Amino acid sequence: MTVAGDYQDCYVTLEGVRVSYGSVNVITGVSAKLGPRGFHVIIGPNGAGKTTLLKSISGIVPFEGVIRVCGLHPRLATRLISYSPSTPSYDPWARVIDVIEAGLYNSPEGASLERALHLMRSLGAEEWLYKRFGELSSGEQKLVDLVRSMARNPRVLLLDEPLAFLDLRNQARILKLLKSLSKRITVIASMHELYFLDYSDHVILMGGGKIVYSGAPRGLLLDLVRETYNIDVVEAMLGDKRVIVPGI
Amino acid sequence: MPAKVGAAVIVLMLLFLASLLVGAYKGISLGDLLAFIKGDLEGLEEGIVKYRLVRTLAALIVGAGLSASGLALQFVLRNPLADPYLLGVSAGAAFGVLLSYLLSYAPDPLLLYSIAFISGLGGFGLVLAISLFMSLTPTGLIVAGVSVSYVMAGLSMVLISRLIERIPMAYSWLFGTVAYAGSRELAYTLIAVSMSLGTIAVLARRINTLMLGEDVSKSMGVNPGTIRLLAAVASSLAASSIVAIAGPVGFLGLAGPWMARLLVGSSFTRAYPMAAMTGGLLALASDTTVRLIASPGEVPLTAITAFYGGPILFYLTLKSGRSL
Repeated sequence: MTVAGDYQDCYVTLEGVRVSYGSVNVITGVSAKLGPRGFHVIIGPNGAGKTTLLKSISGIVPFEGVIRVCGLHPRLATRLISYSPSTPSYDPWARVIDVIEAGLYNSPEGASLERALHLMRSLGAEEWLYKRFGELSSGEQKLVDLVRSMARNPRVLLLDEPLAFLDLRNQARILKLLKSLSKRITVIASMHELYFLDYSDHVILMGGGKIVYSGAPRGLLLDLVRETYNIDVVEAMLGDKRVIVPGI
Repeated sequence: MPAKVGAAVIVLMLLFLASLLVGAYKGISLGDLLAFIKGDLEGLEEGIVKYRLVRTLAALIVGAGLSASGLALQFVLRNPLADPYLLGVSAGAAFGVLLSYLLSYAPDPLLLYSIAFISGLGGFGLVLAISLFMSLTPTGLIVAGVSVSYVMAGLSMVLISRLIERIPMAYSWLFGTVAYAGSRELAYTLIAVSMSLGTIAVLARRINTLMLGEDVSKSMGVNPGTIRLLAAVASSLAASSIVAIAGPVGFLGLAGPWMARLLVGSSFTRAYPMAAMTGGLLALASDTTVRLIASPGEVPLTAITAFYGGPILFYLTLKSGRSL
């Protein structure tokens, strides 16, 4: 029986989750049920707790309350998840291929270097494989890390700002990949690009360590976005997609 | 990659053979070696082959141990310049070895190795504490390591001044040499190095994840703090027990790992066994060179290893950024 087979319908559930760094309360009581499958996007201003929430689901930071990933405590679900940080801080001397291979540690069946190489080829990035990580640009490093995180074949993919540093073409490629992956697995990503919200299945808006909205992208009211980000925003329809941009 | 591993094994075997044949006494031939293996060799030749065998094995263990533990330190500290010699481990252990000779005329080996390990770990701990306290960069850590090593070497020289009549080769030993290795120390060092390198081998796949940074490593179920501590202690044990047999040998812990990384890439799981081989290879080549150029005398091993280790350190320091 494969791990992937065991955990086809994988939920991420949070009940009364609180996280503090010293005396600073970063997450102040979050409850949610995400999955199975789907593309879940967490938005919110800087310091809203998006990264900390992703890190607590990934078993990186300790938390109070209950988090279950595929029914397991995050520290016991490490084989089922894959986490990609907003800025990968990898050994600059390591070769790209070695970074990707190192990321396969403790991964479920179906994870393989071949899968990663296929992804690298599909992104036109195979010529980077034998370069040192430090030789790549920020955008290239980000792409490598996304490939690394997807190659693990996780049941839950947790991405902190997956579109950061990427040019428009690569943003589109990654969104397409995530959208396609989310038909099979639960994808949870924090994002600042509000013009891509309509590509997600579910939006969570965070503010001050709490969830202020959780639901369909179209249900997100502009006034709530204005209030949470403390800035004027406007919306427009581009084709069949709603985009939200700052009103400057 | 298998071709590179095969080539390294062949070069290692050839150097092992050369190390047995080369020395101040020229009368050892391949035939003598075969006769020694069969047990037919006697007298002076038998004694010399035995001595060279112990010396060659010591060089092999010294090189393999320093290089493999140097690679482990480079990964757990995420510092391309890490080397037990440059981080205060070797100088600390040397002080410990000399101290145990001052405390006892013929120190019990277990006591000697224990004191070497504790003081090696102490030197390393002091360097790490300075680095953490002052938030030093990777290059700064090495500067702290070299500074602490100089202080420890100064203290060691003070101890040597009290011991020099009893141990006339002490100054030469302080710069690393396998010329005085005995079979008993060889056995103790072999046990300690095997234990250390075995521990690191068990942790190898987890150590490899550290190249991805603390958060990603944790998200994969690894406890980076524990892995770092275990690997650092194991590396210190290997390096300290090597000091007990050969003194502080410089740069093998830096040059060996980088030679391995150039050959098989930066994956710890692949570079680790290769680093043991390249370290052994460099040590055998260096010790054979020592006997070729200084015959019938001796020069310390670091005199040779510094020739290639120094430029490698310089190059890596430049590439790592100049800011301290």
